[in-house]
Amino acid sequence: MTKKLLSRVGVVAISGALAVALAACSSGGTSPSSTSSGPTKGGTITWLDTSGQFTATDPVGVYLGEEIAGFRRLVYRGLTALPISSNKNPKVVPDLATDTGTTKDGGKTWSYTLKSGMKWQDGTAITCADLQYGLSRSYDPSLVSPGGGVGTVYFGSGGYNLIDPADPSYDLSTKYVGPLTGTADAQKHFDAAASCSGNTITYHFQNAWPDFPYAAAALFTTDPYEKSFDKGTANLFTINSDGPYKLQGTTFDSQAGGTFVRNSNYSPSTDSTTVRGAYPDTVKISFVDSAETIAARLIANSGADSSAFSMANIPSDKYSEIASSMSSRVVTSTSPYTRFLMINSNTITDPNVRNAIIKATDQAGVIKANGGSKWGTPTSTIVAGAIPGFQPNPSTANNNPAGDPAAAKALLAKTSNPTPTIRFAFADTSTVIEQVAAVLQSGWEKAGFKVTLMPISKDAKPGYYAQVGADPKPIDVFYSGWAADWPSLFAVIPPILQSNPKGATFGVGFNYGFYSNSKVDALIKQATASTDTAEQQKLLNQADQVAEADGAYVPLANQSNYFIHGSKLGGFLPDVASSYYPDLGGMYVTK
Amino acid sequence: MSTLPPGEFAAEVTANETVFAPGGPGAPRSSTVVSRSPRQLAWARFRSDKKTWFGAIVVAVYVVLAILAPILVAAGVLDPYTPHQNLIGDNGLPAGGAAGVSWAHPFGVEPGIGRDTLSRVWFGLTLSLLISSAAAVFSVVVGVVLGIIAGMSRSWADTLIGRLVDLVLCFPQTLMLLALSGVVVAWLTGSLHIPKGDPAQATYVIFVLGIFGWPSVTRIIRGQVLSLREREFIDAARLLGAGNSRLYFKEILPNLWAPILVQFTLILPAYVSAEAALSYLGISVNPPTPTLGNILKSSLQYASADFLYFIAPAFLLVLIVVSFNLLGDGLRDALDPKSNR
Amino acid sequence: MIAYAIRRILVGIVLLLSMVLVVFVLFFASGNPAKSVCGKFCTPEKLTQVTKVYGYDQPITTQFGEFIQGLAVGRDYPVNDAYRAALEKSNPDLVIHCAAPCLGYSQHDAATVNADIAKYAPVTISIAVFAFIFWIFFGVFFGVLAAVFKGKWLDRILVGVTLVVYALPTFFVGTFLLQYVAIKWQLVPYPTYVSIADGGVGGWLVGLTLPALTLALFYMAAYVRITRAFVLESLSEDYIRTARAKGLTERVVLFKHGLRAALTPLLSMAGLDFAALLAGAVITESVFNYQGLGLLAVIANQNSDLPVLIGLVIVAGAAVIIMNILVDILYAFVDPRVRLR
Repeated sequence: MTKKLLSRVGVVAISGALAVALAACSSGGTSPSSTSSGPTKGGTITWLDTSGQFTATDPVGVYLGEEIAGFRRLVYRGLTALPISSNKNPKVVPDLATDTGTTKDGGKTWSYTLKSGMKWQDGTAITCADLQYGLSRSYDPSLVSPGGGVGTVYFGSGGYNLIDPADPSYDLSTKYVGPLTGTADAQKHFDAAASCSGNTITYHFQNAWPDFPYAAAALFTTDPYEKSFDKGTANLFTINSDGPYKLQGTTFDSQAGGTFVRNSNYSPSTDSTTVRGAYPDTVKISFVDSAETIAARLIANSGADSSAFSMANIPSDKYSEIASSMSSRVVTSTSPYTRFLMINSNTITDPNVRNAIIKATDQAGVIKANGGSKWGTPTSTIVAGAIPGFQPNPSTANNNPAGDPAAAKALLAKTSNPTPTIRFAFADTSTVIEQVAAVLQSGWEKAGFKVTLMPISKDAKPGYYAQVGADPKPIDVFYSGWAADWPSLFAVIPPILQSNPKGATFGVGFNYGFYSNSKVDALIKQATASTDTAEQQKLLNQADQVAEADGAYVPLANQSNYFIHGSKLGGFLPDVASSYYPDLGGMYVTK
Repeated sequence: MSTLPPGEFAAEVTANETVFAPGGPGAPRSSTVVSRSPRQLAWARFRSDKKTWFGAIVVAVYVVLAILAPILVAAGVLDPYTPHQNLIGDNGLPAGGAAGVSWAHPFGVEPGIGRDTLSRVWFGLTLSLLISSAAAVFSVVVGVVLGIIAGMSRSWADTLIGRLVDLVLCFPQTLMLLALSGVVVAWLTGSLHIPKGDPAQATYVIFVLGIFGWPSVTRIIRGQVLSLREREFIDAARLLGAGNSRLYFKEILPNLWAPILVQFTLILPAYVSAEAALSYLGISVNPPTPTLGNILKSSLQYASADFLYFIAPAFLLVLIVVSFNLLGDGLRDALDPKSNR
Repeated sequence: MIAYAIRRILVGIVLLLSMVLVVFVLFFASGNPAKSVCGKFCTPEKLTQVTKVYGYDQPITTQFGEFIQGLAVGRDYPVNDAYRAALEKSNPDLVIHCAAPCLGYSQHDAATVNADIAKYAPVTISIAVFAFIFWIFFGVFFGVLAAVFKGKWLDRILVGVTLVVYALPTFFVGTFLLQYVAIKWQLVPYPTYVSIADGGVGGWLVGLTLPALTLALFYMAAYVRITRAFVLESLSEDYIRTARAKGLTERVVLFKHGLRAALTPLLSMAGLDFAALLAGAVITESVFNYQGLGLLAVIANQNSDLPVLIGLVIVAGAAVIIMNILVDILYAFVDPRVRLR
């Protein structure tokens, strides 16, 4: 559950086009499991996960990073794709399209031509109309709910804004509600905005989107969808495959899982083994009750579990059971996630108090409670180390990771109330998070804060994000996390730090702390207007620095991955294409 | 009632996994008849029963410990909250093995964070007993009041209460406890202004356990009242002009202390278990505030990594439930109304 | 007899309707349920739309009336007439007919509640049946054994063990069986539910062993105690004394006269316990991640999926009510002392 609560989209593809200089990955490099022989075909791979993780399998409803990673390799092909590769800057390659896209105006229009000979699992050919239809579905609020709607964040007027070139002022994101219920007029505008001509689709944007090919690879938003298959919300857990596998049976069971078998209408010649190896005959997604059980089964490594893996990290309470004899099955890698605390700027208005909270926070203790260096390393910013343009935030980089109660006290002494109260909210989903809260509380109390813990249970109504995202709220600080929707500082700084519109009762983007600073807004605006990547990064990092000097958030950790898999599983590789989840595309069962 | 009401038995074994596990009817009933006063008789039976004594002593120790805990926490002797992460090793378990047992931490420390286990379990015991006693008092008070009214009234009130009992017993209890948590907690904090967090959660647990627990008490009390109301002293009181409320609470109630005491002692351990089960489902008091239930829940994650930490809280829970059940059974045997004649 | 049955059934229907009403009021008291349907990125416009589409803008009395009507004759979704008419034109596939007794439609699962329950029910019924057979057989067997050997060491051991087992929380037992017996020691295959269609009766039984055992242990402990008490009680009845005086052997006394009287009330209890289990073994199913009704309830609760929760409560209540009636009628056949009026 935590993953879902962490971010709206667990997608990070490290864009080669944008990558200038990647900061050194903070913890353990990627190490593919070594096998003497090459990949072999056949066998069954079991993908273990915790039940209830997947809230949809309809492409427009999917937003969980691991789900996007896995389904991209199994059933949903995109216009473009990222290859299976240990390279930190893999280059995007064509998938359904003949090339990675062409643009004549620096990214305002993008054209793709479909390869021929590609079919849906029912044997129907994939057409340009399917591409159009697929994108149009992400405008239907009933389909993307709950938890979806990600694509439209970028395609909407707040983002790059998909427009009808003949009528650029027509706002599709508010006037068009998808193919099922949209008006004919709106549909006409949409069809012009994503226009088809033969087998070629052209997207028209208001703002230049230079790395659109990476978006097409990372999100399902531009994937095709077969119109005759569409049953609206009833399709939430259906899968109409155009990839090498298809779902056995009609619906995916969000509590038990599903079995994927070979899709006879998939044509390998239109695909590449660098994207989809498609080695096993069967891939079985099997849900169990908890990450502990997953780890226990993978440690035990018996029967079918010997060719099993999981996208879930080994929970810290299982670390002690990882014996040295399992070293060939244990893999560490970097992770796209950062964890931080958001400060409600509407209740804690004094920057001195906010900075005192930052100074007093026991980052090291939080990391230890989560499992130590295998789980994450201290960070000074909300930007993950793997994002192009990442740099430590100068405002917090020199803080003591174990907290500095004296410095916090000094800051508090400057304020009217040296013992303010912090109401700290967190999603109460595990013992670990409860321990983290206790560590934070203990650190803050050393600096003189009074702390009220506000655990929000899994079944709370309204739910965690509904409570912390609202304004006003009786919450001062809350636990949070982010994996960039997009491999760019643009997908981190503006959503979290740009001021909310006046009178907003719910945070726009991810600015649930309601932080507002005109200097930060100006810098973000400047960056958006700029066309030079290096300058954009400089301006956005400056915005981050200014905000953090003002005490906008409490940085905690840059996360790491720590996986274990079965002994008969080969090709286990967490890579950029799969957001550093293990890449299903290259996995195979060893003989 | 012409048929033997099956619900009466169901009420005793209340069916729904362990969320409700009141002490079932069980222990043997002594049938020795000696010419002694009922009270002497009861005491004699009670005294001669070793199991009951064991239960009583353990319960007494628990109660004393539970009363001491808040005092010791206030005095700083027990500290259930302060993390000692320096005692935690790199693998998340207490450094140096043996669950981190030392002079400062005789029961060791909690994995991951290093809080003192003894303090947590001890203080958690207090809160668990507090919650379950409050819920038991709630059930018993409501159950007794309605039971007396139903037993004494010879009219619609009896029917109404009977139907109400039927209705409550129809509800799938575990399901309702789960499903109602969101709605009721929102109501408790919103309308009754109970502070969010622990107080609201604890109130919810007390409230729902109480609500679903009273029907069994009502049935038993009603049965007792039915026989009491035919006795001469009730007629006498009535003739002397006693009003209904006087009749119910001054005349009838004092004669019910034995079944009330027995019911209370049997319901209480059931509620201790129920609190643990609710903790497992995540709808009771949350950590860092310890209760036996949430300590047990967090220990489950270490089931295979730290066996001692896994079984210790469960052992304590079992001990307390068994002791209360032994005491309750013993009390019932000793105070068996059949031999009270 | 038939008149009695009819009367009981009518009372049962009234009970069920009152239950539906209570559940409806409780669950809708928290405010606009559309909020939970609307999802995480809910905008005010979308909320208005969802409220309308799902009929939550109607007064609660209207909603209740329509729900009852749906139970009786079925319903079409979405419930808003204008919206449905528009959809029927543009995309008739999206209009969902929910046949009577329609329990509602879950937006979250994109399925009717009936379909949800039908999908999850087999697991719950399987676990319940397996556990039931297990606990009745061993519970009664050990209970009679304990009663026969009352006071002997066998009795003491049985009573002691059942006391402890009875006090063990279900989730602790389940976690132990899963983490140690299945995963660590590999004594049984990792428990996963296999339907008879997929794995034959053998595979089905193997898959059910651990969860059913987890559930059965608690009930078994309870039934040992209850059986023992009933047998002992019936053996102290006057007619048993008469039978013994007639010179019947101890075996005939026990099996022909004693057990019959003792097991009749057990029958009604067992029936009700079984019915209550049909609501789903929430904790057992959560521990083993078995897709039964209990887990469905947990999931629905996490997703604030009110229609599913309401449907489950109704189905569970109906099971208890129906079983109550059946047991009462059955009782008359088994126990000659009971005459139904």
